[in-house]
Amino acid sequence: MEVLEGRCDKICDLLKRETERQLELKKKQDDKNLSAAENEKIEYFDNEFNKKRAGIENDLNGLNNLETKELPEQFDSISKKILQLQKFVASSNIFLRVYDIKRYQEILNELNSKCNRLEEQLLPKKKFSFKNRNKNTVKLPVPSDQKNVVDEVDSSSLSKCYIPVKNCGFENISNQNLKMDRETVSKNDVRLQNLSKCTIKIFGNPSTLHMSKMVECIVLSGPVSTSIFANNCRNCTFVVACQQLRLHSSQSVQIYLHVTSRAIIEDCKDISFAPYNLKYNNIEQDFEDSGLNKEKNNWTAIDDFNWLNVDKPSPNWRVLDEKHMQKNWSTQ
Amino acid sequence: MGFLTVLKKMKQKEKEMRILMLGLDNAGKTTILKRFNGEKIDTISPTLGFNIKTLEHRGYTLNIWDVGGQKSIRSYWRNYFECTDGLIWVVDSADRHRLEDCRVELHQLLQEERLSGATLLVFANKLDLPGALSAEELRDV
Repeated sequence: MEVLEGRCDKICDLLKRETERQLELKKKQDDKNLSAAENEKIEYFDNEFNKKRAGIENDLNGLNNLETKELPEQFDSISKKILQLQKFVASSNIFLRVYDIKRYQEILNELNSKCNRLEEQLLPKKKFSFKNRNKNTVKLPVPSDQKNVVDEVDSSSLSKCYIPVKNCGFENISNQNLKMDRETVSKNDVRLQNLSKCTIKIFGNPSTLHMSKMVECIVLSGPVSTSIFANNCRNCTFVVACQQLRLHSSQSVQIYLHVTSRAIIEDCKDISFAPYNLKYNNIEQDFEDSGLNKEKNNWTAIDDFNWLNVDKPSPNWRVLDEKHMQKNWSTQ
Repeated sequence: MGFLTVLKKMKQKEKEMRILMLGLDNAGKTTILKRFNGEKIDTISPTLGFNIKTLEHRGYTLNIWDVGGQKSIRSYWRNYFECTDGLIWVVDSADRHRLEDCRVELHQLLQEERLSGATLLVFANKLDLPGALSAEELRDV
């Protein structure tokens, strides 16, 4: 009896081991299948990627044989294809290995830079110049979305404005005494542009004041409801009140300022500030109409966008010496 | 329990939008934001850096990022592009002289790959000013 029992145990043991072995085998098989599927996916992706990449490279190589006017379109389609490929990689990165993703990205970058290089070579950007300036018709540069053009546009944008200006203000005048009265400026945008050696007096309450390309001018203005925006001014004196002041790319400007929020300067040098001290008849009324708080003047709180150091004051602006301050402004 | 929490969190995420507000300086981005939010607008100063406001609208949480538009800090705009659902491009309709700048900057933005999934709204601000261009004129620009 005992012997029988012992045998039974042995058989059971054997059976158990057998099933375990089978299970192990199956598991191994499954693993193998799984990794095969994964490999298949990667392989498929690799094939597909290479096919597309070859297509793009083919396109790039064929560019030389195309006519110039067809080029922009072709470049467009190529960059679209590159973008698609990029999306393809991004959508597949779940099953791709990190190393692979890196490799594919590198290939994509290479394609991109090659495309850009060719574009620069075959489609040179038109340079903007002032050749026909004396004819008084400054020609617009061909609008282009390419990056390098931006700087040129920035520096020349003022000279090629193609929209007729309807604002009130003065333009292209030198050596004159100019005046604007309450009726003209009230709630209006005032624009002063391209003035030299002028004195401009603005009585009343303009909505905004824009100034650009002013040289050796004096601007006296009543309270401006919102903002004053000035750029490219040199050796000027402004006596202004406003909610905010923005001064760009200017040099040697004295500002007698009343500002209720903040004033900022950017790309400026040698700017000096003093408190607003303009007086004329009915200035109180204008202050009231402008909505500016007469009690609140932040004329010393100047933010310089080229000086983000809080510990040291910006070298680009200073408070004007009391002895250099002008006390009275002729308002006649 | 854990699974449900995760689900809930994802649902919440879906109802959260990140919106980036950009445009040239002096366009009125901060003013728009403060107005939306019902705050006072008479103390606004030029933005040095950025403001974030969270608004609730129809069950959506809108995180609005208002980034300063000065020329010297425009190069930092790209730091905000990641995960942006919507882009509001604010244009000062009355500033005719810088429309060209404005156009160039916008086109440059639109080339940005990280913004390709975002929806664009061009906000024609200051239309009430007397010298402003109409929305139609702006569209042509």
